[in-house]
Amino acid sequence: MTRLLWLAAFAALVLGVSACGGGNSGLKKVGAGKSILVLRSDKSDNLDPHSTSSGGDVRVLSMMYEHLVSASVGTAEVVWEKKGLAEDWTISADHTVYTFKIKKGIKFHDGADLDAHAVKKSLDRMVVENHPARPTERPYRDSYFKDIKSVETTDDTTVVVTHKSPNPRFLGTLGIHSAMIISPLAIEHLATLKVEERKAWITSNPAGTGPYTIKGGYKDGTDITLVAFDGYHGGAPKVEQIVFQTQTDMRTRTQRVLAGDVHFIDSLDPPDWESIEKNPKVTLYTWQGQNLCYLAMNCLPSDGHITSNRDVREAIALAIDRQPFVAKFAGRAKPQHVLIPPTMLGHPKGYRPKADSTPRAEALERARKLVKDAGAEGKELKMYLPDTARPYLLYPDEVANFIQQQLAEVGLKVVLDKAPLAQLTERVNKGEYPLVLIGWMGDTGEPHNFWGPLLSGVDGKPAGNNNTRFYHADVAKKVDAAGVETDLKKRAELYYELEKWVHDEFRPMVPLVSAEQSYAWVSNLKGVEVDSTGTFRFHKAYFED
Amino acid sequence: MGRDNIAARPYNSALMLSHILRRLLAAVPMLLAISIASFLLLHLLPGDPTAVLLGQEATPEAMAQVREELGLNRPLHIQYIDFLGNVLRGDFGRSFFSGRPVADELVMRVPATIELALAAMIIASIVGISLGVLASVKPRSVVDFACLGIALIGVSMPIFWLGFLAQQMMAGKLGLLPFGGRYNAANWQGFEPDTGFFIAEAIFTYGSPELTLELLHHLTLPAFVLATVPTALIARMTRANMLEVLSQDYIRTARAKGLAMTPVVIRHAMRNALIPVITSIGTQFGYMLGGAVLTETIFSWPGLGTYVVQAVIILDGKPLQASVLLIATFFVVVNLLTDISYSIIDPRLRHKGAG
Repeated sequence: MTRLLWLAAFAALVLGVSACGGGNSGLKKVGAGKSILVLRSDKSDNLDPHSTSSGGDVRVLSMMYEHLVSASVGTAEVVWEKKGLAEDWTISADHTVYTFKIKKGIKFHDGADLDAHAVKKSLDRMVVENHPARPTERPYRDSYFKDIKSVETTDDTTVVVTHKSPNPRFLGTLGIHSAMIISPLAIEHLATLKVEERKAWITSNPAGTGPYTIKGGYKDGTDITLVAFDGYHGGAPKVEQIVFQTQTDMRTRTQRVLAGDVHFIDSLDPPDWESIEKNPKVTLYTWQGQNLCYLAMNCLPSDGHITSNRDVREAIALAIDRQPFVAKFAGRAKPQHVLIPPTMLGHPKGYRPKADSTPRAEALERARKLVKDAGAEGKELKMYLPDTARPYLLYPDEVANFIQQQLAEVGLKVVLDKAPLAQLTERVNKGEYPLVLIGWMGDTGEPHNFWGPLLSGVDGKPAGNNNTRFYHADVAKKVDAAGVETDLKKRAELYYELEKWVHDEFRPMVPLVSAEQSYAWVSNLKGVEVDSTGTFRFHKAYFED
Repeated sequence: MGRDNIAARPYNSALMLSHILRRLLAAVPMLLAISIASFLLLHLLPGDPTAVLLGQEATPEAMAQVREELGLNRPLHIQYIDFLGNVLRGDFGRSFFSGRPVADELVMRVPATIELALAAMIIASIVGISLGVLASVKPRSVVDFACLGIALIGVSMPIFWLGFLAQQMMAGKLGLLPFGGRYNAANWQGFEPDTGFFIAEAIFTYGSPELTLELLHHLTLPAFVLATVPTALIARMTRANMLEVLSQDYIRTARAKGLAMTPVVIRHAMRNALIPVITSIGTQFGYMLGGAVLTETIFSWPGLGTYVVQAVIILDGKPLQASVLLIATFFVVVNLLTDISYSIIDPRLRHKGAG
């Protein structure tokens, strides 16, 4: 009894101390409806828009920073609209000069004014090779910004961007996170720091023009609290704060939103979608993602794999049946036979390479013969698969097992090698893998963003993300030509021709599926905006009573 | 005869001090070896850190530039000396990915794990010892079998499964406890603690009983789940030791003198039986400080375990290096403390050589 009394006294003391301690800390309880809790599959480490390449970072950055252009809402294809920081723009006939008129009266989180000079300063951080405020890495610079000759201002509201060659893709480039506009004051401060300190500083001191910002610094990658920016040019957000938390388990995320424990989640398990759609407590949002899951086959003879033999690649393409993959997505993925996903420019609707149109029994028979004739029967093929789920590959192990079984039917033995995604490029470039099970996500609706990195190359070598190690000078030339074609119709035609040529003639990959993606949020949360690139925003969001 | 009455011998403090000093000195080469191993770990990791850093578009020039900026092109021994000097100053370098000092990240992560491990250990010790004692007092009774059964379930049930079930039951079906996280961040504004000791911060810095209770509420379920295995181990060990001690002559003598069972168990039997249990508690605590990866993952608990896993997945060398160094050091320190406390508690060690 005495001990129990002691225990009670101790508890009272702790609570007493907590009641008396602190006091002027600014801690307050947020009322219901004033805060959105987002439970997501990934986390954020680096909130420097010019330096990150992670989707987890971009989700948070999209709340704090804005672009000159704005992606359309409610369209399947991405259309770039004049609702961003530029109120208008003109493009020269040859698509080399882009002139932007910048909106007036917009302020950054740190109090700086947005004008043409601020925009130039921000874009220069990506464009200028040895920029004094550059981060340690700018992963999108080579592909997207290297072609820019100059960024100039002609007055306080006009920015002129000149390219070395025609660039009809530039509006899309301005829509990616690397082109988010950072405050000039922040860039000046970054230039005074050591290069390795810069991204951590900007992560803790965001300085964009977006509706939310981080207050009191950034503490840890798993929980991020954003607070409303009262000076937001689109009007102060109704929801005072957004909290991002991480939960890697898909089922737990779903349960928590169903229980009302969190307000918004990403990436739900497709077999659950049907029941969630019927649940009045939750709003499910799905869209056909700009993504492709594919099996890359190493084409480079010097790597010494049997997949460098075109007949073996043809046999693999014949042996693959996409139905089990689609079934894993509960039908919420489309079987893919070409590189470009269905909702994008350059997707040749209804077209299938010859191998993919062959009846199953005949295809297997032909595949077996091709494998036998190539002397590849019983040969081992090492196949990479990622160790974490991706939106286009929610179950890497199961899909890899399907491929293993299907290729075994035609006499090929697949050995699985599961490894972190961070290791992939280096190991592919060493020629380690004959097969790579992976995918690609587009974010600008731009077909060049698929053809350039995945099936083309530079200086006679395959590009950095080209897991097939396929390089053909004429294909590369045609990809480049399509990339600079300014007539949209002609561009689409050029991409159709590439699809029809490359898969039948060279067969460097087996496209598998293009998956739908999903978000869900509690039904009383209204005004959530999801644009055509899949980015969600809360600046108009509110809770209905 | 029963046990020698060693407790009555004079206390040899010089002997104790030299024992502790010897232990401390023995830990130094061990810590140095750990530092070398964790330093080399960065160089043994597959992949070039600069390629990992620069991502899929790394050019040889950019890689060379980053290698130069990060000092990765200097001789290995110079890099090690720098590393050791930095570690002693509390500088573990910067994460390649976040660019933040690893020390800043650990200041948030390690306390989260300590809070969880401490809570789990308190639960495991109280429940485990109670179950073990209860079982030993009435061996082969219903109580004994029930305790043994609980202990068996505790050891054999996979944590991820138990965690999932507990979450479904307590958070999903009954709604009594939260699903996960350290607190409901959406409920609060202005909670910006400097360290990851959230409970201490809520009490002493922010003075908020309401937040303190919310933090404890969130801690309950993961702590109970994490406590299952150590509870079972402690219960089994306590039972076995208690049974041995209860069969000793001096216990029989005490009972024969007319002392009631409860004071005999508490004052005489438990004191002797719990010495090895305390060692086991120390070791278990050491394991937990290494990060309870599964529990942390299930309950979205941002501790050291999930930090290490994330660093492995993205091949972030410095956080991995610092975590390995820290976890190994925790083990050495916890073992050292257990060793020392053991020699303080166990009079036979205290007086070794003096009688």
